[in-house]
Amino acid sequence: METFKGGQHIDGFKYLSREMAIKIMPLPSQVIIPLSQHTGAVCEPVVKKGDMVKTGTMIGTSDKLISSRIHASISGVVKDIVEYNHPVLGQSKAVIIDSDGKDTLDSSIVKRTKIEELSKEQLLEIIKNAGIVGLGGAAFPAQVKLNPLKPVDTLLINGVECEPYLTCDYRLMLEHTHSILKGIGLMQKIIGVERVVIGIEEDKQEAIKLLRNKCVEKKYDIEIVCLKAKYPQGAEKQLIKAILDREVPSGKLPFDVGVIVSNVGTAFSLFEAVYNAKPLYERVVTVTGKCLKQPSNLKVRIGTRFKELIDFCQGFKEAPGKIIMGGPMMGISQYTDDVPVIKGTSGILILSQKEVDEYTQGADQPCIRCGRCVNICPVGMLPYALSLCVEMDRLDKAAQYNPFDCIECGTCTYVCPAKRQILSGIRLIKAVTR
Amino acid sequence: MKAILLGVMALSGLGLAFGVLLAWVSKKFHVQIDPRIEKVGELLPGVNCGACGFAGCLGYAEALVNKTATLAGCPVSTADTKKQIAQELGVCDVDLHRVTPLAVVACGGGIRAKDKFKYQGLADCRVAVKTMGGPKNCKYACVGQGTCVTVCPVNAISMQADGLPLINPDLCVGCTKCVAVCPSNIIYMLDRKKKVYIKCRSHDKGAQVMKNCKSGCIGCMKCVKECPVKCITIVDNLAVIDHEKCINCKKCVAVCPTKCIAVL
Repeated sequence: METFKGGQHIDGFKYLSREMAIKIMPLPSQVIIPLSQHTGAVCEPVVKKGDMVKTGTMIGTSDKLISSRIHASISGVVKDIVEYNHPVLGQSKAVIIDSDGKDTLDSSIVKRTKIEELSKEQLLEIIKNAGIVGLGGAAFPAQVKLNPLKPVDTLLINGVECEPYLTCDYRLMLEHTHSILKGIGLMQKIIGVERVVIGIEEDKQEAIKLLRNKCVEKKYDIEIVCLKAKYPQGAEKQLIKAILDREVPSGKLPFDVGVIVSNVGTAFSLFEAVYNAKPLYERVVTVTGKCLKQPSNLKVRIGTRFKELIDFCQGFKEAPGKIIMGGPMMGISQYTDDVPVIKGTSGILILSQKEVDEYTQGADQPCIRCGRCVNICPVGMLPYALSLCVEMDRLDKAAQYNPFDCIECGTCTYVCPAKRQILSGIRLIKAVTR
Repeated sequence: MKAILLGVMALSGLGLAFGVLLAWVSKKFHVQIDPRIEKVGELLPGVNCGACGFAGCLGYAEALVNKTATLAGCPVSTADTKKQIAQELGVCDVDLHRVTPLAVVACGGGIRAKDKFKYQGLADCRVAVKTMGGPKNCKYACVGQGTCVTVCPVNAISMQADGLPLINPDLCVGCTKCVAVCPSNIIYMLDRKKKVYIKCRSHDKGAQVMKNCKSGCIGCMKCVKECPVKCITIVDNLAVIDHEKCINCKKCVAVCPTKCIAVL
């Protein structure tokens, strides 16, 4: 089975939510829509306090190249535009909308016909207007990514979902197989590539089978590759290495080796944007954790508070210790449940106090030079050396260990027997030496 | 007996030969070192803080002797030492009356400032401030992970039980390393002659400050009205002392309702 060098198989705990079909979450009474949900420039609000908005009305835009539009996710009245809690930035400007309970769709949302006649430019314009971003995590604006500066020969679709606990992409592949394939077809047309490969890990056999059957049935010329289950297979550069055996050079991007990588979730939202003219105002979120009574996969409006999602999953079985947006490896822990779901929220993970204590007790022991972090580092760095540079306060020495190649997957911290916070140290070095 | 004698003679001969050789080599390849470098190096404080930009005090001494640096570069030496060094080098390029400034912490938060969350990450302020905008409700506050303590070359800073660093004025040599490293920019240099400074950096509005912290500047203007030389102004909701004008009368300290004006 194909894979990349390094990495580590991590117990996924995906059984908690993998059999739970996607449920549609009831409409929230209020949504908080941050104006910064993507990589790139922050949007400026185009509505003001007291305005009436409909579901799918654009409420934020920016004239910068790398940015993505933001839409209202419910219909109602703009209550305020204020600084509010943000799951990544801590605080950010957000539009607060009080629902009128009707969920009236914006007049622009009508099913499109004659999709085949749309040109590449028209499609890119649709994507831009719909505010589509990469749903794999980094939330990079899709219209920029699908318009690469260099010729590309392969489109890789990331259905790996290597992050433990998360199952939202898996459920999407099972339940919206044909829509995803249609979305991939659109991407293929926009980029103008022949070859499309979908990478899926071995533990998602059903999704592999289903996609293969659908490809045969609907006559799509798409390869589906089964990959070894290993973290961080879903990282762009590692996926390219695993499937195509091409190495993205240090400091370069995937299109430098002729590849574009996109997530299955992005393909699905692209399908919705083009076929149904629906902007990205809802997404599938996995709400999971052993201390949760009913882990689920939910289709949620952007801007719904985490608290409401947790309540919808019937609350906690035992005392929660940490709320994490995303998975346990790359997720960001939250200090409150009063934060909104944003475009990049793939999951909400709740760890119990017991689980948290397991990791935090006895943390930061001296490095014993066992070399585990060197063995598993997917980019071949020396994480222990960087960690020692931080410990000795010699950040000037760290530059020789190429800290900027780090993809921040956190595997080094996960395997460290001395429980050293290696990744935090590397992030510090990156921030200081930039 | 003969063998012993032979051994002793051979070794003494070798020793003599090498001794002569080494003596000749040391004369032939003698490196001239300016004796002043060592003398100046001894006069310098010897904490190797690096504030002058050279590799330690000896590196700076060499630069001084070679006239590639001036005495103003060392913030640590006292006027007396500088005078001695100047005499040694036969120069007078420096303001000898300059007093080493002192680093002060402009935050009275610590345990008095409300926590947003309990920070469990790497014990480094630079990481802590980047985590969800810092573990304190006040975004200007000291995050209390003690990075200033780690960088201080003379161990003048220590973390106190109230969650704030304390700078010992007797030990501080004014190298500004802590100022450079503090990510919240709450440490700054103060002239030692000045006795009063504002222990807050928050530009939030008064009501917000009251919510976040028990000892923040709320911009109430009491100190402004009290000051006999009008050296305090409120800039962007924060009191600022013009240290040039301040006469150390300490009247403002008494009227401050949140006790955020500190006395040295």
